[in-house]
Amino acid sequence: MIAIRYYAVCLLVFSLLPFFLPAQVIEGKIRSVEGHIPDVATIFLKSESIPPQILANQTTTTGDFRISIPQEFKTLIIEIIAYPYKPLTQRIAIGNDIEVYKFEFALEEAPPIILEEVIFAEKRTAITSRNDTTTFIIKNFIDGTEQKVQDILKKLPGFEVNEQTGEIKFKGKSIERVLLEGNDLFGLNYVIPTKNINAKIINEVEVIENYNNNPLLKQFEHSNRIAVNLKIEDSSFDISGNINIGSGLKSPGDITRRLNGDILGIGDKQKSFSTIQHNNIGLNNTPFDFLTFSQNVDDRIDQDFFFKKIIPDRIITTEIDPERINVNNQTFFSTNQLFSWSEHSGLRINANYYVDRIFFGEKYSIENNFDSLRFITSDRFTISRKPQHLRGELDYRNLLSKNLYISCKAKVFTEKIHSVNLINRNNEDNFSSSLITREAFIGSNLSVSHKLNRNNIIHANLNLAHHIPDQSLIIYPSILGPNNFNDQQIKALENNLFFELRWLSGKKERNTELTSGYQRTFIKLSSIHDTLPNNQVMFFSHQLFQSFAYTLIKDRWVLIPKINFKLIEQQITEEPFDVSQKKFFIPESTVLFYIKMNNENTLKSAIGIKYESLTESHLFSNPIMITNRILINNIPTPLFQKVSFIDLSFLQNNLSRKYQWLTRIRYERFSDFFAQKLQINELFTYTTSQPVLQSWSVINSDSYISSFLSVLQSTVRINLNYSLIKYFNFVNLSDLRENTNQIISPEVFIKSAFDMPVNIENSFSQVFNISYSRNQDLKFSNTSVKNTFSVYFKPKENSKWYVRLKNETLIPDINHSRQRLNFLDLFVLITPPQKKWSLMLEFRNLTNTKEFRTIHPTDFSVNTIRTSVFPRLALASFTYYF
Amino acid sequence: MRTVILLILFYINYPVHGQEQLTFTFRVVKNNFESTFQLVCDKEIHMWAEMSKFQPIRPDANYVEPQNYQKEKLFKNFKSGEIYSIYRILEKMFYLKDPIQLQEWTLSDTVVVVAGQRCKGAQTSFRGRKYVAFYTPDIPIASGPWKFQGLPGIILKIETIEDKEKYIFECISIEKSSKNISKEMEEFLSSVPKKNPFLEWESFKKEFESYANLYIKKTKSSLQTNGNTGYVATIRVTNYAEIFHPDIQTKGISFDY
Repeated sequence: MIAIRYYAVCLLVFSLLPFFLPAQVIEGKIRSVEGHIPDVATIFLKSESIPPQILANQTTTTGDFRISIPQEFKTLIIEIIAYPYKPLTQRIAIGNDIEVYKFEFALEEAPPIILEEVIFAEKRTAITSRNDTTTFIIKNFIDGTEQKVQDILKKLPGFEVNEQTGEIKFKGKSIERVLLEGNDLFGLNYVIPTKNINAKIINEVEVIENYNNNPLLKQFEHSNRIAVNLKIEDSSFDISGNINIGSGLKSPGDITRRLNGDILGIGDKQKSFSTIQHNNIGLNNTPFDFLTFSQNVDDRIDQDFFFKKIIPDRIITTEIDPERINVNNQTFFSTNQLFSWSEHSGLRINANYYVDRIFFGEKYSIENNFDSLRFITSDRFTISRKPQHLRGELDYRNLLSKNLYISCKAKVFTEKIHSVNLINRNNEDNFSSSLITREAFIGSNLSVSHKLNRNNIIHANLNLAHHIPDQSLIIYPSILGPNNFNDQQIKALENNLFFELRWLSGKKERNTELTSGYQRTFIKLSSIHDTLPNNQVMFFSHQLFQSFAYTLIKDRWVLIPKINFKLIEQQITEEPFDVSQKKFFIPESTVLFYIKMNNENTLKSAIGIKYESLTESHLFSNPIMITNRILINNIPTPLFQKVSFIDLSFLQNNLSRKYQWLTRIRYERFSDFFAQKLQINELFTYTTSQPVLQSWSVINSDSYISSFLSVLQSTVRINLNYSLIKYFNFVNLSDLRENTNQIISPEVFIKSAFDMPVNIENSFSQVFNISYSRNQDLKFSNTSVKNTFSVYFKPKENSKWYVRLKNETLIPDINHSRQRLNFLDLFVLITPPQKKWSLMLEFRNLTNTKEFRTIHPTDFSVNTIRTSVFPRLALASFTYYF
Repeated sequence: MRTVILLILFYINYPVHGQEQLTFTFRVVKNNFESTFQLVCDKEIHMWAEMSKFQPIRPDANYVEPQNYQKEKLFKNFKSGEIYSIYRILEKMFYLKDPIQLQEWTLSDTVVVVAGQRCKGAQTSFRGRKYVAFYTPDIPIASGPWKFQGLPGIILKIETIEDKEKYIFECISIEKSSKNISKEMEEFLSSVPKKNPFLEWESFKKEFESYANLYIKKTKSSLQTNGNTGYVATIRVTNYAEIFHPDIQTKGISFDY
């Protein structure tokens, strides 16, 4: 045992011995032959083998070095390299008796290095981002399991998608159109691609700020428009699409269905997208909205050429998701074709057909309180609405030469909406009404751009539009006069001719724009009623305008001042003899300024004065019946409203920190307007719009801040919206009343990202609504609360299915918090990877809540509106992608 | 008088800025992308700076230049024996400090001509990848592109071997120049935020690991915020010659949301 210990100790001592022996080193001084210290010298110890081995190296800037010698080598090569001296090598033999080898190296100047000419490899070009284009490579943001383009856009930073209307905003600004591979296949109806195109085929999304589809104007004009360009994974000719089939039950036992088929064809010279869909589960993936009547982008652009319908269709409250109330039976077909023979030349054809049958019930209870009078009126509506819409659009564009561009566009639509209402008034009288609105529109546009030289371009634009909205309203039994029923026919016609000539001079960064133009509007309106006096009105307007704008873009800031002069003559001829005529000279001015402080912060502001004609919307003087209760008329007068405004917004967007902050404020002051003179009793409301030379104002502000909080492992978002409207009206025999309406709506949103199977999401919002009139002491206010809580459950990691349970609680009036409404929904989604199908199980309104209630205070009443909701629903839907 | 002052200033400055340096222009390939860099060798400081921008080698419609593209730059300070560099990964800046002697080389008999210079071969392994390098003893500067150096002559070409990924640094021209890169290094160092001191390699790896975890959580939360869940997303970091996070740099890190 002792012997073993002795050997072990000896072994340890011998094994550690080399560490205690003095190491051999080489020390040296490196100098030039003139005695200078080289800037940098590197000393290599190399073996003598072939090829040699680098055993150690050291770099010195002092000219002195000290390197340990590896022990197993008997001979070594020392190599010194120090630019601009010749390399120097020395062989040394290593003995055991010397601990420190000392050397002095003298370096000689090296001959000049002969540099052979080498040609740079040609720089290869590739598509890169441009200043005004932000490109998103989709694979960085998603995993390819998204169903529609809208699902992709929701995930891209800077995008906001309103799922209800389909409206898309980028950095807080609405986009104008969606392009496919750079081509404008859909025009302004971008909801068709975003809600219907299969997400799997999209490879890249480009956001083009300052978008201009005119290639010549683009070089001169700083447009403020945004377009989104979808890039396809394989842009060679291909056909893809999907088929969706779903069925289920809704309370009390009716069958529900969902059928959908989309097909997309991509070729070099042709692109097409068609969709056909049918559902009765409240879905609306079309650009048309006959429930809340939000105007689609396409019609918003042309709205100056539309005559506003006198009898509005009843608009359902939008405070909850329209899917909750849309008891529909919708069929929609859309086909979009684009034939292009070069980048800027092509023909686009769009055709859409929409038909629906919407059922809903609404109960209005209005608590009136004015002039010491207090009474309640009520109306109960059961409505069946059948909208039918057929629309076609042709758009031809051609870059005829590098200096000449022409575009022609024609839009035609015809629409019929038939609403049949069963009405109970004040829980006493029953009526039925039938409202048929037939609309036809034909509009055409021709524009020509001619680039005169590098710095000048002229652009001519001609628009012709013809709009016919006819309405027929029958109410049985009659509310007015001795007949059994009341019959009213409204016929209207609006013709517009618009021509402008623009001259732009300079570069995009610094240009001058001079515009001259002419607009002629003709409106003919007649109403025939069995009891009420008839209206027969004609309106003419001739307008000459001249504007001057200057654009200055420098580094990070943009300044665009603009002045506009209008000379307008308006004439109203009310048969048989009344003619009123007036001439206006209007100076308008705006200044737009924005600055990109850095890559994260942008400050924008706009200030200006503009005028809007109110004459066209207040043409008839004899009353027109709107519903069983409301009659309206005007005191027609040629009138222009002056609008002064100031707009300020600040955006901070830090993508890496997942942090966004947006604040906007807008103040508008309206001088001269038509005030409503209301005559209200228990049976009728007569509204007369009469001109008032006063001013009223609106302040709107909204703020949004969103950030990921590491402490909570969650994203937190806070929104705050505020609006203040000061307006005027007359109620019964009152003088002009000055009223105020104030709405404050904060929202707090949180969504977790825990590393657990369960995650939560909660949104809490409140709406404070206060209305009052300065002429009386009464204030009408209401506070409503809404909370949406969702739980996401994934049984295990990498599971291809998930469950979402959603609870929506609404308290229409905080003072009666027990009267709350609850909605409970359950979704199960199965998306197997690498498969071409997905399955969704959907259970909506499990609590089978029957109606939704909202409370709206006005300056003289509190209106309570109860709206029927979509009953309990169970649906299974299967989607196959090809 | 003004001319005299200018002449005096010229002669005072001449010895400083007028000294001759060698500048090597390199074509750099990172997998499917390429760019051009310059290696400027001035006394105790060498600068490695990107001249153009990384672009796809073959025109690629899917490529878009990253927002706020930041050209790569690196400094070797032979006096302090340190290399300073910056990484921008997953939108975060990391500031690195390496010792100047990083690689151990094995020399070989191979002889090739690069940029008109006769070069000898050598091999090394460096931070997860194997490389073959070609250096010329005719230009006695123990430096090379990027973080490579330590051979008895300037490295004119180096490329990965036995690797799925391709990294090539190849000299395409050599010029004489006179740049004040000491000043550039001072500016470079002063641009480093004080709260972000230079990290050594191991510390950087740890810091990146924790940042990547946080980034995944942020992304996960952000994706969920937008309404869709029940999917899997993958985060991958590519085109880095050094391997600092094997998972995220190869197959990527997948997470459910």
